Amino acid sequence: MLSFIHAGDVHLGNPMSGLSRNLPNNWQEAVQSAGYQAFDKLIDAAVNQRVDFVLFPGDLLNGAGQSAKVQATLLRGFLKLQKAGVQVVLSFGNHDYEAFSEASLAWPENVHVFGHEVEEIVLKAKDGQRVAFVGFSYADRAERRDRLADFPNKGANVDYAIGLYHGMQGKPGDDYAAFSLDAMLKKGYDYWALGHIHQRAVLHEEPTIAYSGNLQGLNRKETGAKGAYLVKEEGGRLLSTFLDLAPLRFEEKVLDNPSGLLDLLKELQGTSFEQPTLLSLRLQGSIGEELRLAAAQGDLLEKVQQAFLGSTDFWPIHFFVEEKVSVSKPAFAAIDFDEAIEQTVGTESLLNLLSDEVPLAIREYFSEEEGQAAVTLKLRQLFEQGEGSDEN
Amino acid sequence: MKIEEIQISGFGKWSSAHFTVDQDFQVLTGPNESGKSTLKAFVLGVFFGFPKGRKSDQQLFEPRSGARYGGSLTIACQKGRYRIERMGRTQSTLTVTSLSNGLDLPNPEDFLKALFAPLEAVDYRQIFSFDEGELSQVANLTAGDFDQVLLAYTRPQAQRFLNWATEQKKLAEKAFASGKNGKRPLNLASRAYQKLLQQKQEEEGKYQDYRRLQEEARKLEKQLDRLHELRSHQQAKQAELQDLIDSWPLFVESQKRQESDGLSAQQVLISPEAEEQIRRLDQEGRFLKEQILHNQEDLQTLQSSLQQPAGTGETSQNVQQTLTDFENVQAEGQRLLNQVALTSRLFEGALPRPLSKREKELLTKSTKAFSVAALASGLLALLAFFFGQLLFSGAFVLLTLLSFTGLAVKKRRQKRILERFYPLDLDAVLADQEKLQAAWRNQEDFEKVSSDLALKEAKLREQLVDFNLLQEAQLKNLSTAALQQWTHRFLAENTGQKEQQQRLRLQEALRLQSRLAEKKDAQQRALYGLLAEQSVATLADFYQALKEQKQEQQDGDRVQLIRRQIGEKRLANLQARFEKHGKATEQILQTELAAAKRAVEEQAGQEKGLQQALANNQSARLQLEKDGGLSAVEQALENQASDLKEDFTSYLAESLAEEVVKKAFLGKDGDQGQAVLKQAGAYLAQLTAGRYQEITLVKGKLIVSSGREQGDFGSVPFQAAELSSGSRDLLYLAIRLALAMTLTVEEPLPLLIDDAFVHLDKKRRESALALIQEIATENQVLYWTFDERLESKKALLLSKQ
Repeated sequence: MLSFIHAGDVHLGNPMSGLSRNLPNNWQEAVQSAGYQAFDKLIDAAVNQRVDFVLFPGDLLNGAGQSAKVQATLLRGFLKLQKAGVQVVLSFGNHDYEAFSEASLAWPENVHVFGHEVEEIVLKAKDGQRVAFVGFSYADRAERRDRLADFPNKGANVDYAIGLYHGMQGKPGDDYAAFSLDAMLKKGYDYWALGHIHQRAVLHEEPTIAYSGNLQGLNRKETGAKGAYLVKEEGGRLLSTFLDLAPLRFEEKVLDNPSGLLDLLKELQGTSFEQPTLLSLRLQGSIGEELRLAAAQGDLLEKVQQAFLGSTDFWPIHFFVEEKVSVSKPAFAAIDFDEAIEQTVGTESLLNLLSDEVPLAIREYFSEEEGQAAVTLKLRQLFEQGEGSDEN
Repeated sequence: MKIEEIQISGFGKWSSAHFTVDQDFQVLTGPNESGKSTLKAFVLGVFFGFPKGRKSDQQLFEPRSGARYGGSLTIACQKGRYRIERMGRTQSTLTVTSLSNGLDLPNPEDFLKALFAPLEAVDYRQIFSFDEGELSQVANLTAGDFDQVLLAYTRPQAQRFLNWATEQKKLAEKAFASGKNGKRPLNLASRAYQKLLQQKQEEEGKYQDYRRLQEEARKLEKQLDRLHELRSHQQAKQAELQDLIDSWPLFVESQKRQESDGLSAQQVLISPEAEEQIRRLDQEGRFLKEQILHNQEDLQTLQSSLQQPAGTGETSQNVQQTLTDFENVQAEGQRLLNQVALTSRLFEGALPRPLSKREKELLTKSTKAFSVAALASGLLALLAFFFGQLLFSGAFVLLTLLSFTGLAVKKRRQKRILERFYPLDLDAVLADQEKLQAAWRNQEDFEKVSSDLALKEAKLREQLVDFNLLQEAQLKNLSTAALQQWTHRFLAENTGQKEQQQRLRLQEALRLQSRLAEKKDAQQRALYGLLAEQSVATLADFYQALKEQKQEQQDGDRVQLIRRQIGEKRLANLQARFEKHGKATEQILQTELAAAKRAVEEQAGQEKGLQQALANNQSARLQLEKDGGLSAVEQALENQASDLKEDFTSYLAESLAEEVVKKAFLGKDGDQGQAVLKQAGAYLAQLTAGRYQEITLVKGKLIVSSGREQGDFGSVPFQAAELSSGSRDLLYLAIRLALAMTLTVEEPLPLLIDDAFVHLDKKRRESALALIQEIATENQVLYWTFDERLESKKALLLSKQ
């Protein structure tokens, strides 16, 4: 019976973003070890489930993976799999294409790495069935060629054909090996293990074309349980089940009509979490003035964190306070503030305020949409608050 | 809206005061300290709330008389007439009463908000209320600030937002300084980030160290493998040498044994079967001897116990003793008879007499003497006959005859003797003489025993008669066997069961004694027959020969054992060495072994060094793997970046607030702005008697154009800041008034002017007053002044209150 694990986007060694240097020590440690723990759990699952193969369709690593800990963790894992008779099939994606050159230097023989051109690797499962794996590794941070065209149709001399594909649906020429489901289905494969999109998703059933999502959430947008797919042959069909492997979760909690800080703390106290959780809070509806003021002054998060110091269940990392619906145009103004803010916030205006001393990454952030949107939002909050305050 | 009445319960110096305002241009006059400003503050307080006392320098207007704080205004507006009452300073209550129906409005605050919409308190204060010092301050403003102030008034609310924005900017500047090496939080945080970046590079460098260590480890492992192999080889060699040395004494021994091996090969071997038989017979003999001894002991015990009286009658004891004596002799006789019978079985007839000494000589001495004598004398007779010596010849013939006769006699005698021993031949006869003699001795003994037996029997018969056990007549009829039988029966009847049993046992033991003796004889015969076959006389000789034979066998076996122990290969090696070096072989082996040991030790040392290096390497690698260097720094960097993004977002928002305000208010030349400027231009022309006629906004700067003809040059534009201080005042006034007049509001709101023109020169003051009065036709004007020239019957004289 063929069985394998599909683990896209492991991103081993990838730091989590959007956290603060003020993270308490226990959370700091949890954050730092989560990715490695998730990987170890993945290996253990493969050994315990006695699978034939573990598939990594890209972004196994972060960058070139030039870290002793990362390399040691990988090697340890691969050796464990080798001992258990599990083979590894691996391609590099847009995030870890640099790791290609030195990756396989010290890796054991059970690890099969795809080259830069599409190739077919035929391996035998433990029960002797012949399985053809087809895939390719990225040679650069983007892949604009139509790689799917080079994938051969399923051959008659194999029992199974499985595609490893790091990319996303789109039109030809897009950055990340754009593909269409139709083109994939035409190949006649039994399973497509996709990578690149961090959100777990089944694009097609029978045959399955699926993203396993990433192994461990890396920022507050990557919420919920994370892990890999365990795929097993049952009655001639390949059935996949999700393995929850990430030891740390990002979650968002919505609080409707929070009246004050005390209410908010009470509600949080009464919330239970399946796993240690880094929590974002979204306040919406009618928000109490106390909360609104604290949010505008920027100390709401700190106040809530203070209340939950030492908590191991969850740690609040972000507040999102919904804006008041209408910011009325002030009397006599030529244009309303929203418009003025839109007009004011731009790459030039922002970068003029940031000297060379500001790290390049930060300056880049503000030259991009995301940073500018953040400043726009902050200005709106400021003006909303500014309007209510009496300066006389 | 117009204010019709002002009713004060208590406010500052005023208490229970009432004013009726019935003019559109209402002058309120009085000297300094007559309460002009207090009254104005009261009006604003009723509209927008009394001072809360948040700021330390704020005037609170607590009533001096102790009257209740507050009061009311009666106003008329498009909706009707209302009384607005606000009582109490800190927790004031606002009541708006519609004077048309006398009802209080449910939401008085909303009423006021709608009344002034879209203006808020701050806007009304800024636009419709002129502070007394305002115009004088304008003169002292710098060019830039003046511009700013004027601009602010072209777009009301802007100033408030600008002030607030300036505060935001100050906050931003506290967070980050654009100049290098600032010590503000964001400068420090930025530098911390750069430091982390450096650390990251260092960690990336460490990875190169890690790779180098990995490479080194691989090399070390290879070297170790090679050394290990070499050492195994050397150790094998050392072990081989050691083995050779250990085997040397054995080798030497085998050499020696082999040398003496040839001698023993010739000796006759005692066959294992013979050895087995002899050993068995020997053992049997010893066993028989033991049994005999044991039986004799039993016999003695039984006999002695029987000799002692066992409590039975004396008669029985005596009879028993006599019977026992008799039977002992009888048994002895039986034994002797058996012995004789055994020997006599060799002969057909009766047991022959043994050879006498003469007979023995006759049989053993040769008959050759007679034959030789006969032959010699025959020859001599012939010789003598030939030589004619007839006498001698006759004598020799006689002698020859005699010799033959002697010979014949002797032969006959021998024959006669041998006939006695038929069927044995001469040799057997000679050999069995001993047995025969023994048999004759036994026979003699038997005869003696027989007579003794007769005596014992007679004694027994005598006793039986003496004891009156039997009559002599009865006794005569009893044979010996019957006598014995009778006596036993008697004894059995007269002695105890035990004694009887003992007697039976004794009898049995006696029978056993004789059987054992027979067996012993048979065993002795068989044993000596076998010993003779093995050419040895005695058992001791046999065992000695056997021992020697075993020793020889052992020697042979030992050589084989040694060969096996040493092994063919090693043996060949030793053999070769021995052939080459002879007795020096061992010494040479020792030298070679010492060298091999040294080599192994050296390699072990090298190996240890490499192992240490490998261990160091491994611990260095483990350290690099454990501390997670790069990952930790990358996470720290990411956290720092996240904080920086958030903090710089705040910084940028705060920094940009001012620009947003300016954009909102000044960004576009809106209709509002144009209308204000146009109206202000008209007012300025009126105030300056046509000297300045137009106000425009060019690139954010206010430009005033002179209306006076300057020859052919046309109108001359001035920047607002370039005007004289007097003209600046008028420009300011013109814009303020224009703003109030052009505002699109629900209600025309009253202007509150508090001695604003006091420092203008007469001509300008008059122009200003004229303009105000003109304006008052549209908007009510409350004008406070101490200028007595304005006193009229219409003026409210405050000093009179």
